[in-house]
Amino acid sequence: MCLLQSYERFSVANEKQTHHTFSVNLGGILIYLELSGVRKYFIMICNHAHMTEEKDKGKYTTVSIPMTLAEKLKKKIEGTGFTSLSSYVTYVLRELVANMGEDDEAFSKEDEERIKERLRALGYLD
Amino acid sequence: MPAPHGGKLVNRIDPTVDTADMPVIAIGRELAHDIENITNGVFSPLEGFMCHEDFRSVLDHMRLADDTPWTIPIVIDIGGEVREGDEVVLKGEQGTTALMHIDEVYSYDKREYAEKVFQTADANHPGVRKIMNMGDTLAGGRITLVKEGVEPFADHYLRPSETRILFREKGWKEVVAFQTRNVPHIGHEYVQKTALTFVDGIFINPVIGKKKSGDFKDEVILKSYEELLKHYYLRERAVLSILRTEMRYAGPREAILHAIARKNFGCTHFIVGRDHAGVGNYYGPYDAHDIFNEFPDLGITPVFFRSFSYCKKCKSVVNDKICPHGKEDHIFFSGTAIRKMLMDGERPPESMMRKEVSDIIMSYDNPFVE
Repeated sequence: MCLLQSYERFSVANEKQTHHTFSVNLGGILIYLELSGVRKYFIMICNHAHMTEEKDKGKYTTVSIPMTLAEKLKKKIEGTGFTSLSSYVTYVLRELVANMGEDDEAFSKEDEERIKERLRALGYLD
Repeated sequence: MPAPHGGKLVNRIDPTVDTADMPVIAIGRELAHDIENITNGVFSPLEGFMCHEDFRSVLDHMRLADDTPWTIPIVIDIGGEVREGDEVVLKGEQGTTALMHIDEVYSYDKREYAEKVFQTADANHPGVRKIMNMGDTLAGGRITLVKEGVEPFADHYLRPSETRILFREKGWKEVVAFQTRNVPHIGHEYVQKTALTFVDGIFINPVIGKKKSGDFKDEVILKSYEELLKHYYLRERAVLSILRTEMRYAGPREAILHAIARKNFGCTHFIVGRDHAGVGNYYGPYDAHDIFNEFPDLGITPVFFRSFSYCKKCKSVVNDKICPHGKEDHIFFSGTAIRKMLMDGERPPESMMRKEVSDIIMSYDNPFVE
């Protein structure tokens, strides 16, 4: 718990080598915690599907995190509407992935000119 | 500006595709609208009608199979007319022409579909009724739009690639979207302008397409908004453009679909009012607010509004957070009450509706869908 409280940076990595190992059923997400000093912890995503319904087999995995952190989080989500630690971790990771963002679509010069012309013709642009 | 949903703005329009000698399947107007929305990016990241894996995942988890949020199946019920591996031309009444590669044909449980999407299997629900009348098998596969249909209100029709450039040219970084299927009353204007106060521009995006009996006609909605914007909005702060799609009346699930579509148009915020996309009493008044809690990765920020009314003591439009006066001092903006007044040939008071808007509505013999 002490170590986790002292971490300086939390980042998401998509490291090719490890990604390859664990990504089969995961969409390639690997979480990587860099703690202060030299110690590093991985939240490893393995391929277990024991807690899911038959139709969802192969779509869920078990995430291993330190017990102390799990206990802390369990307390934190009491009465919040999250029904399990898994649902909370999924929520947080989805938010994290979404915030990684991607660049906006680039338009070719010709497409852009054609579009601006139409916008002007319709009165949307001066 | 937010990245398109799923990371890439879909553009599957190719007028050079040769569809001569291919089998043709006639489709209805709503499917033609789905095709246009898929191929021009409104429904990004979909590239075609859903295959079984996505369909199941949407029903069970409100996400595509790759975990991207998606709440309403976008499907075509031509499974009985095609085989896997076929290439067919889908042709709409208005001339929409698209090529579809059939990747998969699959059966589905209509009752389960209805119960998961609409939270009911009651045949009185318009969405349920539609599902029950669909064919027994669905077909999934990518589509390419070869020709757009000739539709009314083309001058008010903008594609996501166009709105994204328009917002950028206007210098708008934050844009709030307003979805509507109604003529505007003062309460709508209050909501729009309150939200607009905090962002750079507003994108008013009425749904044009199949609606239920008693709703306002598309033309009436569009003309009344034109009039409202002309007199009461800054031209450089508001854009009015239509979205061609049917109302599905799926309440909370549809609110998410509406938000995704507006994200693809380039909006950063989405207004969600009371009983968004609801019908009858099938959904709680704020179910469409609560559902957003399940999507931290949606990529567009919901702006929630509760009920609003005109307060005779405040002499202004208020909501339940800002007015200390009682119900007896409030006139509620009830769409049903306004509709009834208009049906009786009575002009709604100016505290409820702008005169310019009621003038437009009253200029029609019958402004309602029959």
